[in-house]
Amino acid sequence: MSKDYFITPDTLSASGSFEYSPLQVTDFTGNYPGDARMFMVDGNSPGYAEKVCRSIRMKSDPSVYLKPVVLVSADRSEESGGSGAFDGVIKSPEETGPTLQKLLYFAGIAESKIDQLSSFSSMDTNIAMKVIRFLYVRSGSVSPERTTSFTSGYSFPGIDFFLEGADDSLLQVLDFLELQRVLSGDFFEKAYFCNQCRSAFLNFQEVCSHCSSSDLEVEDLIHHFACAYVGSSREFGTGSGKVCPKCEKELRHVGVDFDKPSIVYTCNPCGHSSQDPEISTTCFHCGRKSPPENLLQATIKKYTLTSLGKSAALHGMDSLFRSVMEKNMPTIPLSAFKAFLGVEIQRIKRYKKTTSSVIMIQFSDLDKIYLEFGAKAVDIFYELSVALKSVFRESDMITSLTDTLFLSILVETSLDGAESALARVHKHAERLFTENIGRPLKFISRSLLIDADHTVDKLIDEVTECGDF
Amino acid sequence: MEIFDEILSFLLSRSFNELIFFFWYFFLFDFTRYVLLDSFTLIYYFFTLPSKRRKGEVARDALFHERPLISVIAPGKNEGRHLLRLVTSLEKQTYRNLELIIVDDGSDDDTPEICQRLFKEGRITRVFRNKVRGGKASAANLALQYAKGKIVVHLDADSYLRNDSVEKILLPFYTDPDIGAVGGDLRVRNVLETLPASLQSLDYMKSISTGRIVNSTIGVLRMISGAYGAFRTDLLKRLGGWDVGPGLDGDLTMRIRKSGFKIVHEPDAICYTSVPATFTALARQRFRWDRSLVRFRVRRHADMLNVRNRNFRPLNFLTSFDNLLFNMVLNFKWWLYFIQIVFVNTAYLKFIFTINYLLYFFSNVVEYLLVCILFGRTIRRSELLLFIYLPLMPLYTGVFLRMVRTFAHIMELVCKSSYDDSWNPWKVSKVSKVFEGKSKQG
Repeated sequence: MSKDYFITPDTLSASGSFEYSPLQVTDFTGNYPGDARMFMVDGNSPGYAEKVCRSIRMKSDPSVYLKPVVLVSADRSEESGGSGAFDGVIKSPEETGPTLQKLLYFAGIAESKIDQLSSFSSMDTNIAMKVIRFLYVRSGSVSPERTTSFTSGYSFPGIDFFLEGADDSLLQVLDFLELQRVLSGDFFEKAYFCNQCRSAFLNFQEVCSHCSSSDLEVEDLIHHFACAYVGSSREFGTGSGKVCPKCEKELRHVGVDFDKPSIVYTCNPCGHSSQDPEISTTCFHCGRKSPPENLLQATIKKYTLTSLGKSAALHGMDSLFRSVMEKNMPTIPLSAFKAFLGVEIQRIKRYKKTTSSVIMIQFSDLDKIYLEFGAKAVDIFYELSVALKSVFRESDMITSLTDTLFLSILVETSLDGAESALARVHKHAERLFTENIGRPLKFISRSLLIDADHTVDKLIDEVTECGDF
Repeated sequence: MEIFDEILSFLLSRSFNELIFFFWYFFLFDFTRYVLLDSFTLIYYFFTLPSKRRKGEVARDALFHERPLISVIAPGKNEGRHLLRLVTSLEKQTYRNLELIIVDDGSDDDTPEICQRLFKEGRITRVFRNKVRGGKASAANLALQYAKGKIVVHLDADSYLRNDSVEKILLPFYTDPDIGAVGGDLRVRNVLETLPASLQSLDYMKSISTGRIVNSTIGVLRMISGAYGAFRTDLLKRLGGWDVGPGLDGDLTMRIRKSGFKIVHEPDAICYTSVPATFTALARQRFRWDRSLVRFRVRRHADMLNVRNRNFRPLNFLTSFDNLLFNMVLNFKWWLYFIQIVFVNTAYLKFIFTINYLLYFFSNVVEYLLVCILFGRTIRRSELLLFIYLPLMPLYTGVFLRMVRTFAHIMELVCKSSYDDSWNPWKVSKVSKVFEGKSKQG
């Protein structure tokens, strides 16, 4: 039975309407129980709750990191205190009321969603997978918030804690997932970043075009209509009564006998004057100076999980690979494949004149390719599917047993022919991957002659024997 | 040929007094001042050319030894389409230590973008933009405020220069330290574009190319054109730059003279400028220029004629007197002559007009030949072809320009209409009218 755990710096005894056990967390590397319904964290010590939440989120076990983390604090409300990082705020562990009921309801839904997830614990070490699954368990979307806590200037509440640093890595992960069509992005705003360290904290300043000093003085120019004299406002005197230095007439009122047609910047160190000083930026983080046109510009978006993303959350990143492959190499359902296989077995049994083969191809380490190549991985897999398509004939039937394991019936094809087809697949794939990523794609393959003595399931079992599914 | 026989017999049958009575205006004033005086002065000038060239060599060495920064300023509104040509001509100058300051005075076309592009390419040193137009004077003064050069060269934005023009206009400053300003030689860019442009080109050759040499040689030069003039920066700043126009260039020239500095014309510093291509536009331009004679020389600088003025100088007196006499007083007097001929000597009208026409025509021929002799090196082929328009010059200057001038003088004397000219923003004109009125009273 699920329990709610209350995490505090101190040891507390259990009491109240919830079953909770105190967990003393000192170095934030404790083993959090996977049977937790939700984690409640003491928010009275500054920074403690955030550290605990981060340590929970950084676990790789979905039954831990995906669970709700609730802030317990009498002072902080939903709207304040960075509660976006938490799934909710309650005033005490004993609290009853609509807030808690809502949290419990959410915890129930989260638990049921977590149970649906395929267990690919190796996947959950990768940030992209954790982000997808986190969004799947929750609302399915995440909006940026402006913050000074991250050098990127933006935080994505909830998923920030998947990363250790405060740089812009999360923006890059989200961008990558959008390219994969796992997330869809809606425009939030545009932002500029340092082209060296990608920090958003930039000091924009006008600088002298001659000496690059920012010690510029801005002055209005005054045009005295009577005598056409034009000079800085300083020349006309300070204070309320301005006097023209040329004709010595007192100026009455702007627009009546004088106006201010423009402004001028004067550099105090070198004396250069101009109306258009240069704009320079200085990064607060690394100190790099650059003109605004050299800054990196990025579009900050609100992200929502797509249906492909939901599938990826449930089944892992491999489903992306299958979706790419099927664009060029349509497959038939396994049930149909089995039916055709059964017919083929019977045909061979009856007529004994012909031979057909079954081949199995399974790809591996796809997640590494995603993480390494991002959007380019999709293009690589697409090229692979084109290469595979050129090997198969229209009479061949293809099905996918898993997202990475494919079976095909090669009708009127001998075992040698099947081996030859597999050899061509190997050759195409090896050339494609070596040319694009510098190393061959790992995949295993096998071919079997369809025997009249085979049954459908036995044949499939045999051909996939060396596979891993 | 019959008409010439008639003219000859008319002339031979008249007494000397009658001939004076019929043609006094030409012989007494125009021929004396513009043919005789000009010819003698130009002959004198011609013989002084070797000495001038020697001094020029010395001045050139001094100029290039010092290599001072020269500020070239070009204020204007909606002049963007001319800027590339101007910039290119400056880049080809033999004298290279220049800073180019462009003032965009409230342009509402693509001039700001053109200025920024040229600035970013490093072809303009400084660009200033007034979002609201303030007028030519204030735009020039803005450029002057930030000019760092020892000498300011003021150009119209639609002008361009011969390759040695900047060098030439700077040389006089190194021949005489008392020279405060130097005027360049204006030639018409669009010489053969239209008839009005061609006539103006002939007029410029006469009145500027040779006329200003004469005035400069005598010491009565009264105009450094705003289209192309060079000024000592310290002097300009001391005088407060330009005052509200129109006629601001003539006004500044007078103020420089009154401050004790010399004004000279440099015929080898050649600048090509655009002139109005239609008679309407030309009339509008001359109407504006001619009113400034009354506004500045009659009203503002009347003190130059006052012999009891503490700062009275004979040459300044002569400058103003010459200008007012021949361009204003005698202009009105010509109408009396015209009435006399038409209503008193009606019987001889045909002969008098024809003879007058021929007299003025031959005067123009003489003046044109003098230009060709003096400036043969720099005369373009298009300018040489202008001789075909010489027969029209008596009508152009004697009738058309005279009518515009007379109207302008009357309008300025009676209505002060120059203050209503849209050449300046109305806010500027309104205030300067009050200001100049109070200054006169004060």
